[in-house]
Amino acid sequence: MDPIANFFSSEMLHSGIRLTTPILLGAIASALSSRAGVLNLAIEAKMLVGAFVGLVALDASGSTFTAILAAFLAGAATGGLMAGAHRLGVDLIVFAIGLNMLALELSVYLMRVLFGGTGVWTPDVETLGDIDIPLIGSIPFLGDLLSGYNILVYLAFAAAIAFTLFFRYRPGRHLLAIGEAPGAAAAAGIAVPRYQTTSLVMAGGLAAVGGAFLTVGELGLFARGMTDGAGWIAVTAALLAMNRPGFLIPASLLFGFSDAFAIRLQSTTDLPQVVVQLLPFLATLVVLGFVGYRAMRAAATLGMPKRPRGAARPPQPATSTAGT
Amino acid sequence: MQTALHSDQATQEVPVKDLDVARLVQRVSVPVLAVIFALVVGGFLIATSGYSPGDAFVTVVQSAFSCSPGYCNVATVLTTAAPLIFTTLGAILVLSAGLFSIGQEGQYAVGGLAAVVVGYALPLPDGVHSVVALVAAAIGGAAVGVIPAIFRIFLGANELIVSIILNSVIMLLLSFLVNYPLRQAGGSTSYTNVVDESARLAIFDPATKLGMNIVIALAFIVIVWLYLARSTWGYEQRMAGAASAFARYSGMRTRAAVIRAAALGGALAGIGGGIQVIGMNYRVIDGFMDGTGFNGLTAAILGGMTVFGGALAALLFSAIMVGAVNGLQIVMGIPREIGATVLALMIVFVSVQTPLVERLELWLSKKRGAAEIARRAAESPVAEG
Amino acid sequence: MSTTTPRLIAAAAALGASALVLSGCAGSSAAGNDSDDTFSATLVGGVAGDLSYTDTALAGLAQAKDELDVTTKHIETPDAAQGETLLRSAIPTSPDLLLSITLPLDTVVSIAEQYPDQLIALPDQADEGTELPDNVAAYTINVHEGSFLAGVVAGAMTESHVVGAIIGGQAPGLDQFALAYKQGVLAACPDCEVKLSYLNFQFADPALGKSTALDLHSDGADVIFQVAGGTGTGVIEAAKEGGFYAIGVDSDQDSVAPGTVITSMLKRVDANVLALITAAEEGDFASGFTQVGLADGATGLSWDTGSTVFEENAPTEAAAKIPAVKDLVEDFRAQILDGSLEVCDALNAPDSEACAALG
Repeated sequence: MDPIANFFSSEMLHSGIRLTTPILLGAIASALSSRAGVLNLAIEAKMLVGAFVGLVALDASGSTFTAILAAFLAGAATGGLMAGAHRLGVDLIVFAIGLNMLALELSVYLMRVLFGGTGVWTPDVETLGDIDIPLIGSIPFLGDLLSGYNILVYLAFAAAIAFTLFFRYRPGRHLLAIGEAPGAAAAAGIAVPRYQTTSLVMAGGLAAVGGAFLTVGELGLFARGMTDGAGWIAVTAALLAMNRPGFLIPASLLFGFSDAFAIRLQSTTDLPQVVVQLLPFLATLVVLGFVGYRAMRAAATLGMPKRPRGAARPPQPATSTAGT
Repeated sequence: MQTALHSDQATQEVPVKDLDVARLVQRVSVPVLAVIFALVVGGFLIATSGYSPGDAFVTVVQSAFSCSPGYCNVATVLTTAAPLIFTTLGAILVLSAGLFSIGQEGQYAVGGLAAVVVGYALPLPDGVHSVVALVAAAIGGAAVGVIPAIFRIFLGANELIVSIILNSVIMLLLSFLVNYPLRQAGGSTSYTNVVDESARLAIFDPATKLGMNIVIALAFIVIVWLYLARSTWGYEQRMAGAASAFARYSGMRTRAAVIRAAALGGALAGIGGGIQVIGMNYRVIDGFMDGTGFNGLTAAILGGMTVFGGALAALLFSAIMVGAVNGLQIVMGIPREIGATVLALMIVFVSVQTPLVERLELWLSKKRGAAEIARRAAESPVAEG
Repeated sequence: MSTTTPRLIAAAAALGASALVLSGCAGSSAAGNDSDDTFSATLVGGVAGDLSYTDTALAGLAQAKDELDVTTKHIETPDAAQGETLLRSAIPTSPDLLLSITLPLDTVVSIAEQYPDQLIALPDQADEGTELPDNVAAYTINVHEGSFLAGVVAGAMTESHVVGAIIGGQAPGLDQFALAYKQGVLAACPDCEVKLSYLNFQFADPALGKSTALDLHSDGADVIFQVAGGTGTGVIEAAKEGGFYAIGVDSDQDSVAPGTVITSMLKRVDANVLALITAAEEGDFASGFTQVGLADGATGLSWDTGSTVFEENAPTEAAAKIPAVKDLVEDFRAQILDGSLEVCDALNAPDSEACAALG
């Protein structure tokens, strides 16, 4: 009993929550885009943009608030770019592939040109402080789990809850309708392009804040590709949640905790990390297969093709979306 | 070029011929304009960081295309291009069947791993050994390649997402394998054993290791072109690609064609990994997944999903990469990331231009249609009166 | 701008045809410094700014540039798989001395055999028993000696009697640090518990380093030694935040977090880079392996080079301990130097008695 209790240390819980934060913000961004009928694969790019711009702003202003705001705006601008491209009828998958590569390379290029030629930039800045919640913080187990994170951690979870509540209201329902059938929604008088643009802009901002969590919130440094695939994991987590707002937190926690668990596994046992790290990915594959299969069966009984409910839209040729 | 294409159509109606030429020009103009725009933006970035873009451009071209007796940069470009050509061809094959799988990176890695294990663990004679290693690489790549297709066809899951997840899974596995079971004993960095001499590809230029790698790559460009353009299987998969999403996954024949395309595309990307191992590094290093698969996908897009266009784009990629590192970084001290930045811009511009050109085409044909109606109306003023 | 942009467009338009021009413009202004007489040294490998291994080597390169009449260059290899191509493409620029870090030894040897006139130096290379060609010189650093002293410091400073180490991965070259450190801790504090946490060869993931360090701290460790390259910056960040102590590695990291990093275990790749360049410039290039260690100043603590960052910034209680710890370190140093103490060398003598005792 003791080794098991020992294994689940309060620090592991803490790490798990911290590692979940950028994934959760990215996952909200991904789900929001999917709900607006756009498969958004540029989450990684927006995270990097947020990480870089956030740190630059922090270095320039010394204010963490300004830094996070700057990161949000930069991400929102990137999202706006994507929305504009969507309006033009651009193939967003190709566009996203280009954006991801551009963010990865351009951030390092600018870092080298502006901040002295090296592969890691460590400005002399203060990262976000941790918040100790009074009362709750002193409860033994719960205090460790709930208290002592920086503001962005609480913000991420609050955003996920707000996103869930959003669907109970009119704009949220409209968004749902657009995600299900853009044509029908437009026919029903919903301003589809405006909803899509707003969603993509918001998604960009949220993902960028996820990136800023790494630089402004945690590490105070920037290195090449420092998001390390968190954007892709976020897309995966959103799919594991079947893009349902209520499932985003548990799905993101699964990815975040598998990393924390792997770290803990390494320091307490000889088992390789890969065993634990693979699990959430394999779980997502199972979910994707299951959801897809159910939808196919349903389509077969109805005798017409149907897109898996909640799953992202398959890539469409650019021409088909040009009209909207 | 225009006359060659249209000499046998001389008798056809003039407007139709005009439209074909226009379409051809437009298709070629998309990537060419994207390249030019990207270079202009790249030049602007270089200028804002205090260097002369003109000098930078000349330096890149010189570093990528100069060739002196002792060391030939063109050879470096070709050696770098060889694995990239394979991932490009792999991407073209899969995408042209209408399957949007971006798993080339993972297929490339599994191909490399398969080749390295065959290369050092199996004692085989010269000649046979390298062929077996490449076959193993092809099988490894194909095995990864069919997974997204199976998910798409039999489970209705989005193949793009599945291929992204597979890339993550393979990256974790590669790191694990290279650090634990396949790790070379001793030393503090992580890499596998080297492949036997018998498994290595023949080399013409020892300075850059240019050898059979590029010959095999060039041969496969022709083979893949012949396959797609001339064979029944190639025809079937092109038809599957052109069909609507519903039709694509319903009929038995198209299903088979799509799975075949996914397997062959995976095999090609896998051979790319194998070529890199038995032609260049002779081992798999942690960090083997260096973007060759992703770059192949982007080269395929830049090349307009055509075999020769893609191969040309792969060569352009390598030239810019080599030029940026050897020229800009070493000679001028400009951060080498500018090379990949320009490549990324090309992709962005291609994606943005494509719908613009389509709109232009639509507008032009409408205008022509209107002109035609007006002309005919003018020729036959019968209706009036 | 108005003049450069059209020129660029014109140049870009020529790109398609540039393959035809390839030999035409070759050599016209192909840059390189082989024409002048200054001694040139090029370092290939690593990524600048890692605050660790590569930066140490670069410090030596910078010192050579300042102190000697040489020109220097660094070629980064961000993707390990492209390292060989980059080393090869550095050869035609014909530097007088080519220094290589991070590439596999057999790769370097095969390139050296192809170019017998190109001098190649390896400032940090474990002796794998390979016969080196006449144009290759390699220095092996006995990091176990310095790591032992770092262990002594950790053992003497710990309050909880639990000390930790975060190691980039489990391999002989890294155990050379880890096991000697453990031996040092136990020498200074026999009842201490040493927790070694091995990563999965992730040397560029500060977030992982931070999480792992906080995790070790939660298990009671109050001094943590990091041997994990860029990942280690996260370890130091965690110590600063969590209010415990860290020991740096490779370069002097004391001022990364003043008052948190007690000392740094130096691996003087910079001294080796400088020594190799100096020797080559003076015509004393000596091929083969050379072992350097504590006696040569090639390894040791940042205190040896006069760092007092910790004493000046640490809480008074901790700072007050330092003089006594320094005396203890000197005691052990003397024992290592006169040969009366054998330190475990997990890389070159893993079966020795000293290592066997550590398990």
